[in-house]
Amino acid sequence: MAGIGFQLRRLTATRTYTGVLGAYASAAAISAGPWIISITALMVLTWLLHQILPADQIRLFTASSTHVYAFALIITGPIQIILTRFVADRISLKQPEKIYPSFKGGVVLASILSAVLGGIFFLRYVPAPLTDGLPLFGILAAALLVYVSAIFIASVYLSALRKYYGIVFAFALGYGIAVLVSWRLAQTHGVTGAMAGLLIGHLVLFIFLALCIRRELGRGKGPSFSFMRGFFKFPDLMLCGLFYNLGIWIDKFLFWWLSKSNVQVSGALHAAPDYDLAIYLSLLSIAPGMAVFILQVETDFAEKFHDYFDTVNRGGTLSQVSAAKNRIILSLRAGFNSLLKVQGITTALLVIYANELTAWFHVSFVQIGIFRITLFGTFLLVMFLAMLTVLFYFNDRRGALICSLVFLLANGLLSAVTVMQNEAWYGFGFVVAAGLALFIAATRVNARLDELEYHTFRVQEA
Amino acid sequence: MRSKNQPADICLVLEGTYPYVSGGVSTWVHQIISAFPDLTFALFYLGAQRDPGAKYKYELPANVIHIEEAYLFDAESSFVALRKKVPASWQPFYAALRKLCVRAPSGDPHDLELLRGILDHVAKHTTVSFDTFWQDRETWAVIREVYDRYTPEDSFLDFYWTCCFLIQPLWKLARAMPRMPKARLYHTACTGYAGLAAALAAEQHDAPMILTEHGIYLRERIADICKSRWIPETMRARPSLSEPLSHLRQLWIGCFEVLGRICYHRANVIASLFEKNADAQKHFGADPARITIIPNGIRTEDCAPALQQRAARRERNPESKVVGFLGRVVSIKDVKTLLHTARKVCDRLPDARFLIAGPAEEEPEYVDECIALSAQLELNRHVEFLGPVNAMKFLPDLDLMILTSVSEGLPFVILEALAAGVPVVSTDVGACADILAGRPAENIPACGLIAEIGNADALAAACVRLLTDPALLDAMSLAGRDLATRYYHEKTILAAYRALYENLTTQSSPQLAAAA
Repeated sequence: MAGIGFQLRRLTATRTYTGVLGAYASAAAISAGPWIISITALMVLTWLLHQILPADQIRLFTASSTHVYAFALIITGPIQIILTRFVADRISLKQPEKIYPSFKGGVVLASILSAVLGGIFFLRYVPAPLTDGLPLFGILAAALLVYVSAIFIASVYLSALRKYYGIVFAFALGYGIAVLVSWRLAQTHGVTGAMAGLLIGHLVLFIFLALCIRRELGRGKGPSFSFMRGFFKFPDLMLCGLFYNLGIWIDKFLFWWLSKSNVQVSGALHAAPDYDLAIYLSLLSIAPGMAVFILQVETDFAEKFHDYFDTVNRGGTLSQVSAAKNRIILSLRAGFNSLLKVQGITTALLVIYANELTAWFHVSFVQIGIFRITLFGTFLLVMFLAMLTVLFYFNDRRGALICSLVFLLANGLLSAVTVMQNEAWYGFGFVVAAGLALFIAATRVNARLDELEYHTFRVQEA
Repeated sequence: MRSKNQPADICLVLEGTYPYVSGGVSTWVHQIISAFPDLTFALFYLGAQRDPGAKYKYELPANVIHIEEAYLFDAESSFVALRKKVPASWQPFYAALRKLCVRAPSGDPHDLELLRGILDHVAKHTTVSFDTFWQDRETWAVIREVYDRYTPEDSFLDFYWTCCFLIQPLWKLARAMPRMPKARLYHTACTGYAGLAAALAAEQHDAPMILTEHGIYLRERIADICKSRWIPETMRARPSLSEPLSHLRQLWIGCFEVLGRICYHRANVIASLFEKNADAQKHFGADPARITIIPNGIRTEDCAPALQQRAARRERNPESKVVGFLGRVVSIKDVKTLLHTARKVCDRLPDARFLIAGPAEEEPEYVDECIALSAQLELNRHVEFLGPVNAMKFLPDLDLMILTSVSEGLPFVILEALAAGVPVVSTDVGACADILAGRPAENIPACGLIAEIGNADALAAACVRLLTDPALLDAMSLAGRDLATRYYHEKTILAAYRALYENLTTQSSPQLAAAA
């Protein structure tokens, strides 16, 4: 029989499309939770330490811990996003045994980077009081960086596994211990004791998280570092993680070093008390909006999202597929509406009652002005983060990369400009950068939704 | 081999057959090439996927001066710097594509001409890969339009991939066309992709074209598509009894129909092995005026020794009851029905034996199933699997030949059996019924019996009837030999092709006529 037509049969392998990558999408938003808890804990601790330590030591303590957090986020940002993707892929490929080894690998990688960076920064560039002739404070600070990084890595696994209560409980426990032990040790050993206490709290937190993860995943088997191929496979994702976290911190670094009221705390360790307090306080305001958005994404949106892919895979007609897409759009719209309402009201109330609120924190008049501006900035940041999450859901890695790059560049450039001006301008760089990034992200989301069917079928690799 | 730049006299365009696959078409191809040593041949072989281990099944005669291969389902490989997007200059291409998609169902040859322009464009603009084309937004727009027009109630996922698998081989074919050997005449052995390629080449080089169809390609594809489970019969919003085939299957068939029409339209001569196939060709759009019937033929004198040996053997043992099958042990030959038939025959004639001869490597699973079935039917004493044999040594041992195929053209094996004086019991496929009926008008009686496809009872009854009536068997033996010598001799068939080659090329190129 002539002809090769019958050969076609071999080539019609079943093709299905999945939206499992959603598992890694919401991680970005979810990591905001622990972040809020840690800021709160640090502020409470600082407030407690005021009664025990002299002002310069407090400044050393807070500036050091702030830098630790900044470094940890910047170091782990790219690793976190690659690991989250790795975990999501393992889940979709049904290889759960490979997840736990990547946790070990991720922790080791982040720890090495943190130890090197922390060691160099705190031991060489930050002079601190010696303890028995040893630079114990610097060692503790570097160790703290290692543990904070490890904790950020661990939170990837907990959020990908949807263990939100576990995360919140672990963080509350860890920071509770950190605050108590720190406060206790500060009374006997000064700032070094406070740092040791903070370290102990993080150590407990990390051990607790690691145990949770192992109980959830088992020991698994397979190479620990195979996730690192993701750095080459998804350079866009890695850069997105890096740019976003750099973008969050770049204005702070600029203010620490360049603002008129900046304080050289010790060596390379700088602070900008006016700006710092305002921005940390306003970062706390994202809690309600984030909570509402995560709730919407995790429930309604995720369901519509999976319905859409189900419709495609189960042989839906194009009009059924488009209808499913429209349900996604409606759900997203509802999500953003409630985010807008809740976060809008929160921000509005905080702006109006800024005076009364900030009275508790001994905030100066200048800081209240900056606080009002940065409140608005964080409002935009929350919206941006939400849009970024949606882009991850739709696997628009290029879009996510562009937005985070724009955010980084705009925040760096505009903050550098404003920091040269007087205090009245402080915070505007952050606001405009967040707004710009939000605008671009929203445009990308719209474009993506518009052509969702096209992108669904076009995708050849995951 | 002579220089590749020199045009061959004949270019044979072959799809999944000669020289890599043995079978009726390949036997015929080899016969034609070997018969005309004074003509030069080029081969254009189309396969599905390149198999590095594949070997020629035939020794290519010296007059094959050029062979090119193209694989239509292979992954694309290219060393050219590729574009990431389809450039804007492809707008006319998309316009033609849209027009073709709208007009193709009409089957009007002038509309189908559009396809030539499209494939030409693809052949010339090689910087756009299939993946780039397939993933372009404009392509997506066309896919949606076609979907909305033809199958808006079918699974879009299935439609999308059906389109991909329909277009991809055409794309590959277009890209392979520049490698098509130059020739004074193009001769294809089927419609489908090879038929399209031959039509395109004939048009491009302004050369005549012959189509010889052994089976009916389109009918075989339709059978494939109807029985396949790999095209999902999807849930439709409005199920309807009047449409037994899903839209997707119709789409698939429609595309092969278009290819067939292009080939029929361009072919100067459409050769068919027998009348029934000619009717099918007319049904699928071939111009009756261009259809001519040229059956298969063999050198009957080569079978003469076998004939004598068989006669001598039967004289010694007129009661002998050996039934033989000669062919590849594959599902299309329906060897399982043959085994069931053997069981029924042996129930009535315990001294009957069945010999199953032929290569068994093509579908090893099927062979295993057959052997298991034979054991299950307790046929071990009656049935023997011989593997490949020399036909001329095998035929003398047979009192009767049996053919249980579900699809055939004009099987060479029947001709050989008849020439060797072996009567045949066959299923009613291809030309079998025609041949076995003999030519009563010319005083040649029947030389075998026909039974329904898959009907072991009928087949067994026919076998029993012949095996128990040696006089009838011997009469049929004589009739068969007469029939084969007079109507199915190779020289008749080769003369017909020689005449076609000469007539067609004289019109277009006097050199060949001179050479011939």
